[in-house]
Amino acid sequence: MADLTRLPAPWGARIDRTKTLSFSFDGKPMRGYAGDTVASAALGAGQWILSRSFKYHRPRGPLTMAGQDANTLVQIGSEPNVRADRRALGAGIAVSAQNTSHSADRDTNSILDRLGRFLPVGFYYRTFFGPNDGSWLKTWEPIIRKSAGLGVVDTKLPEGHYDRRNLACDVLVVGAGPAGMAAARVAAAAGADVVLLDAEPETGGALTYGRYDATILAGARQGLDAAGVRVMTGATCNGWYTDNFLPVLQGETLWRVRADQVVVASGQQDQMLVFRNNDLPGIVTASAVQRLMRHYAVRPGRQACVFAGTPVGAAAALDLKEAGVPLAAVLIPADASLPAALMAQLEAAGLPLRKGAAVLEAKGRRHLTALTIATAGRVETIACDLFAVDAGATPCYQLPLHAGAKLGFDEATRIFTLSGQPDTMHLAGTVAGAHGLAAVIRSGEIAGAAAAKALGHAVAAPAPLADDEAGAFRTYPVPTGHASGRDFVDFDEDLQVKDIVNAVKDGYRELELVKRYSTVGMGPSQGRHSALATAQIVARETARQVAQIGVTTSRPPFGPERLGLLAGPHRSQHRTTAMDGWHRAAGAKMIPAGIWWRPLHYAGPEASTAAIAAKVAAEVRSVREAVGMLDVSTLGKLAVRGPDAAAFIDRIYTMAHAKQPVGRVRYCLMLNDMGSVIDDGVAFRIAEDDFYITATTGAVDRVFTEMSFLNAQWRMRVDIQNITAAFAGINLTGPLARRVLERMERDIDVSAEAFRYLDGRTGTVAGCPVRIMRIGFTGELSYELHTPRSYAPALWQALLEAGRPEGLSAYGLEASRILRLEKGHIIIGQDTDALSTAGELGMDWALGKKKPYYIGKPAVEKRAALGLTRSLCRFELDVEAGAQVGDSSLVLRDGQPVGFVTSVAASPTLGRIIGLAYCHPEDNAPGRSIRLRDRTGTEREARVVAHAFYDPENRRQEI
Amino acid sequence: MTASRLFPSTGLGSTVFAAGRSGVRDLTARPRLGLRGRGTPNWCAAAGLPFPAEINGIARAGSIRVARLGTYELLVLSDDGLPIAAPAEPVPEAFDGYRDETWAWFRFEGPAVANALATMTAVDLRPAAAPAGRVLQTRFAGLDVVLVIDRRDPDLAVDLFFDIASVDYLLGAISDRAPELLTAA
Repeated sequence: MADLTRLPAPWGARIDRTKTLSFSFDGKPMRGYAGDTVASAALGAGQWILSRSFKYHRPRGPLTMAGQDANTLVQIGSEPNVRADRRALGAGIAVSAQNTSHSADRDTNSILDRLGRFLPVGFYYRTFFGPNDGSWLKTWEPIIRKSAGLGVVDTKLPEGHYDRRNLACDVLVVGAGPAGMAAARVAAAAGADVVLLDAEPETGGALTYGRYDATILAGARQGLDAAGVRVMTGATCNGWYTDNFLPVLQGETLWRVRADQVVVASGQQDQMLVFRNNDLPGIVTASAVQRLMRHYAVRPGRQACVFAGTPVGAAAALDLKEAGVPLAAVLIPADASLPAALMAQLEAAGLPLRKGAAVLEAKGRRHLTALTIATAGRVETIACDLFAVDAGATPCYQLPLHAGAKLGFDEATRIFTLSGQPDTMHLAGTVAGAHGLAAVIRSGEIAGAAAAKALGHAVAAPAPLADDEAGAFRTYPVPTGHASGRDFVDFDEDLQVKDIVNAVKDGYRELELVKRYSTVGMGPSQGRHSALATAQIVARETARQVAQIGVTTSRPPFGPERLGLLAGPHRSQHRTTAMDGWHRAAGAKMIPAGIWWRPLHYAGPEASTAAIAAKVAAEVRSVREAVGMLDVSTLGKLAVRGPDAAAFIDRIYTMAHAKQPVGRVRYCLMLNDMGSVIDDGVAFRIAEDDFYITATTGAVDRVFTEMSFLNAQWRMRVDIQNITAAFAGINLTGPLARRVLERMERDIDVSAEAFRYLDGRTGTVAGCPVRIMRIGFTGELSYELHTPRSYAPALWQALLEAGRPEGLSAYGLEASRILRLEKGHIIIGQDTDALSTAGELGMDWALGKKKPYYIGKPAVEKRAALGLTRSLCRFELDVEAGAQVGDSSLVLRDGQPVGFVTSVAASPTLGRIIGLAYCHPEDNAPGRSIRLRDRTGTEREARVVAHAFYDPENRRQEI
Repeated sequence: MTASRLFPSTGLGSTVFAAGRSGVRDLTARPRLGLRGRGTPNWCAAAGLPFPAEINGIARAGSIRVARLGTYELLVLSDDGLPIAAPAEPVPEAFDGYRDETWAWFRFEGPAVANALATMTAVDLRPAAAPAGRVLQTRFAGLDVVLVIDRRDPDLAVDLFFDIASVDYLLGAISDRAPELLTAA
């Protein structure tokens, strides 16, 4: 059976008529061909209504067939907002219309189209505040959310996979029409590495659907191949960023292109003629008609009218005639200046020309049925079901504007112009103002030569060609609003002429304000078809020139992009210690600590709360009563070396390090210029010119950066290196810790006399090079062994074996936090905030009083003169009373908050709830009490204790 | 007694691929060292090694490659797996950069490597920008890395040095973005 909706070959260059594909639209079975887009297949099956408009739910069909409008947005399966004129037809896909009560053909919400008078511009802002304070959230927002919007997001979809690739090239040419192809060819022939891209599935641009000799396209493609141009089709350049960084979307891949030179040959954006009912299905741009016929062989109508405002429309009329589509009228507007040869062609073809015609109104409910036009005072209505409109075009200006180009306006042709783009960006083709094919190609050659020359290639720039046809290309003014409205300026947002006029009348004279008030240009097509019309209306209503109005700020992205493409293949960074595998095998529950994975406890990943509590208590007891070990490899570690190393860290930290003896370890406290505490650690002086410094896990990168920055200023002879990953750290702690080391092969005397508290030693233990510091966080006898990372698994294992007779076991982060809290130690970041001073923390002892300088010293002195407003105290509660006290519980004084809890835990050793909190300074004295508000809102009286809950005399750690 | 060293277990081999195959090898256990400080030129002289003329350049001495990462920062690589002999006497202000402990060493080789690496780094790897013997200090799958372009002919061979604590992460990133590199034999 003959296919009456399709034209015979050679129409339909992109479809393969031997391969039929079945699909459905709103549940109706349809068939298309391989090579069809979803839109062309639907049209080929007679389905012209693809969507419903945003506000009035008016029927909408394809407009540009170039992916430049919102009319073709459909839902395909679980994927919303698919551009049907871009998406290739797939076998078996289920397509459905969006923003409709039932289907594209039946939408009960279209009643809104009759209520337009009650929905004037800006009614959102004036309506949804009332009648009550809560009306917006309780009433309006749910209604709007349900009724507005486009497709439906399926939140149950499995994860998608998206690629992200980087691409560097000498020249990126955006747009593979005749200008872009010429530019790419010339630049590549000159020796440049050129990438040419286009959103269409093939190169050629207008050469693929316009009335051009096929040999021109073939020759251009051959030129690309011969010059070695890399071609990317189906690829959209979605923005321009500094230094020619351009994201390109191609299927499921985001290309991050960095180009030395960019040629923009992005073509133009067809403009719509403004008249009543100009949005009816069946009214399309002239180039869309050509695409439908030449690409997909779709017979676009049974009787056509054409508005030939430029040569494009005239060419479309000739195409329709050749395709056998009867033409009811070819409208030549009074302002048109078509070339005489073209006019002669139209007349020779016997087309029914209406010179000096203007369109007044389109008629029809679901599809165009007739046009009412005026010609020299005569008004007539012409029956037709297709109206191909060529009302001119504006340059596709987005990328140049992203790059800082300025938009001008040629009052004679009523077309926007571009200038002032960066030196590394070159414009070619219609975006550069060329229109005749020869001039377009030549402008591409000039742009390609300029790009190649800028790269240092020897290439002669061809001379520009006179563009004889340039005067024939223009756009058309927007008439004053039709008395009955529905003369749409912005199809996306259902905005009519009167809406823009009223926005100006409401006081919004500037385009940016008109946009925000009316939402013009804020829909999916981002003003491609509405910007010029809006500018003209605003100019007219404010008695200014269009050039003074311009367009609203153009920002990336150029077109819609899927969030998955931006997210890309995402995997959170993490670091592991050398003992990570051992921890996991030993049943550790691993948790992220900053960027590291650390063992929280060894009760097992799936252990019950009670089992975890019991295991953590056992880990604490093991340290208090025998010996335990903790993987502290995540501690920050810095090597500070050189003749000025001691003087350098003396400036960085608050304590005195200049005369710190070799072999001794000293506490380090780091402040910022505000005098606030930002980090702490220890410094082990390995040699006169060699300090090994630890920093907190989370702050080491910041400390390293700060040190490097200061060293660049101070110019001291010191080398600073972040060696966190180079050394693993193992804290061996507990009253039996020494016995464990004594049992191991080593060259370090670990006796109490030879290796005192705060001593540091280097040597070997169990064949592993080590740096050992007698420091600890637990309050017990502790040796912190640091060894190069590659030795750490061996050292860990050797310690376990040597410690087995003493009951040595590993403990996790939770036990470590309790042990340190029992000892009253603070954790920077947990027990401090951006304002914490050493004085508030009770750490004045760590401030070098005799040093002339350390970072923050001036601020410390000034803040000390102001006196304390809060102080970090140690408090305790009975277990039952403190059960609901948590981090951030408020500290109250006379009913007013004066501080908060920073750390709190149940102490297995003491059998009490213990914690740290900021309180009023007067209350921070042993024997006094503070008032806490727990999580239930109950106020609890907590006793304040001295600086440590456990072993306040420090006898155990110094044995 | 000397304990045995253990480097992160990647499951990747270290043997050379057959011709035409692309993939990644783990050379982390291979000898290398880092040097920092004003004494590095003297260290090279004392060790009988060349000091590269330019930052981000490489000098060769037999099977030793010396990559210059900064004014006074070097990465010394042993391509034959033999230890790198240090000067007999310590050289003032030539400090150990601990590069055998801080950085893992992966080597990418094969005809498909350039495309695969483009999924992980934005650095320009075209021959003109990254010729053999060039050091590139850049970002790779979100990590700070050093890339050493060892060879371009017949195929690209790139040594990657990156945070040794991030080996697990990077293997995951490679499996996400260029899994074909992990399956070469």
